[in-house]
Amino acid sequence: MSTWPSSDALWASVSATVRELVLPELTDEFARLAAIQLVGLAEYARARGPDPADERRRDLSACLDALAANALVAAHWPGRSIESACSAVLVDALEHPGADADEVKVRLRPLLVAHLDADLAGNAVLFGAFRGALPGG
Amino acid sequence: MDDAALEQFLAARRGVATRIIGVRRISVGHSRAMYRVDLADGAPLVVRMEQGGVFGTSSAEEFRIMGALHDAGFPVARVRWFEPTGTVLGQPFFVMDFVAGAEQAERDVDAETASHFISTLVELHRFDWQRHGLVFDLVPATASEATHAQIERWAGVYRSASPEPIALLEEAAAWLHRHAPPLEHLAVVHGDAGPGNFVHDAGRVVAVTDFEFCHLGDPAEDWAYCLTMRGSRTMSRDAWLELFRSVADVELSSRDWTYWEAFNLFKGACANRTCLSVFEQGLNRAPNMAIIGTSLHQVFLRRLVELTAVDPA
Repeated sequence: MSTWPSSDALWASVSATVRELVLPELTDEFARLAAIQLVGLAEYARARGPDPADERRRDLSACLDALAANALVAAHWPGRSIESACSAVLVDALEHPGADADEVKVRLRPLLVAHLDADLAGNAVLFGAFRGALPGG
Repeated sequence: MDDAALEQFLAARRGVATRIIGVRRISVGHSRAMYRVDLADGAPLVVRMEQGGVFGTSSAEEFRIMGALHDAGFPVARVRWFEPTGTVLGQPFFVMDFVAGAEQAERDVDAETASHFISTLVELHRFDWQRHGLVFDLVPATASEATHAQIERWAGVYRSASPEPIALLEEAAAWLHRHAPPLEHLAVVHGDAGPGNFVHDAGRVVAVTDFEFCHLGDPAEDWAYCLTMRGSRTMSRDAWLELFRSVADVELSSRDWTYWEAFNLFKGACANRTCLSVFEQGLNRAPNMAIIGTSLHQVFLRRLVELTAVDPA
């Protein structure tokens, strides 16, 4: 058995200590907001899973590979980073309307938006804390 | 805040021995820390201090603009001294006069105050920046280039803070370039206009604040910013629109409102992205930096991709 406390336990300690011991003692508006935001950060750190960046790159790469016959995609992929290729393809789709652009808009763009939505769902606790809402009430 | 270092700085600038009797942070602004500094022998001052490069804006430009506006009679705090090196307090800062206002929630603004704010904003938009010697970092050669220059400015800010391009932001930049409304005359644009960024008392704007986003461009940017961002929790959209019409004769098309909402979301998403870089580099470890650089950046970007999914109508 490991003798290290888990990351979850460490973050839970930060969250509980700030919430129960530090925050009630604070009267300064700025300090109180920072403490609430710190609780938000700790709860976010506890709840989030592994960094999805590599998995997302694989998803995007597969999407671009599947669009190899699309002239807008073929102009930029492969041969550059996935982020750079996706950027160039989206920009070209905007500037060159047509069937290829439509295909980019219904296959690549929604994947990027889905990644964004997943991020937003995962860090909702941060947004609340930013506005002064103590996570969990 | 190193009070002793600040005392030395103020003594050198004021030319008299200076004793600080109180320092209090007075706002929860994110890009600049603001401290009210009470002196034993003079009127209170405000120290406005950078936060590690947040939002990619320049205190030097802000100091210049505020000084020129004050000298021309525009309601803005008088700026005193600028410390650009960061050697005194660890970050660049400038000092200005403290302007007292009504004690109330910063976005709690009644219709009378809102009306006066709108007329004050019109005054800024019509300000003769060339005659009064306002020096901006970015001066477009023609009015028609102004919006495009700002799009590139903000894209550059986010790119400097992100190791890889963000595809949906790059797409948004292209969309904004493609649909930029024509502009005939360059105006002084506040860039962060609305409740929370002016001091008021008894229905009057005493001082407009927070000029770090001030630039030359299209006044519609400010109206949309006030309507959809700063003012959205103060009054209803219809109430703002009616005041814009009645006080400033401002009526934009639906297409233009959509465009400028998108522009401001883009600006915000780009600026917010710098906070994650600042946080990761350890230049500012405050929790709001992590939140703005992730969650707020993404909230802005999510609304932006809705607007840029179609042509503005």
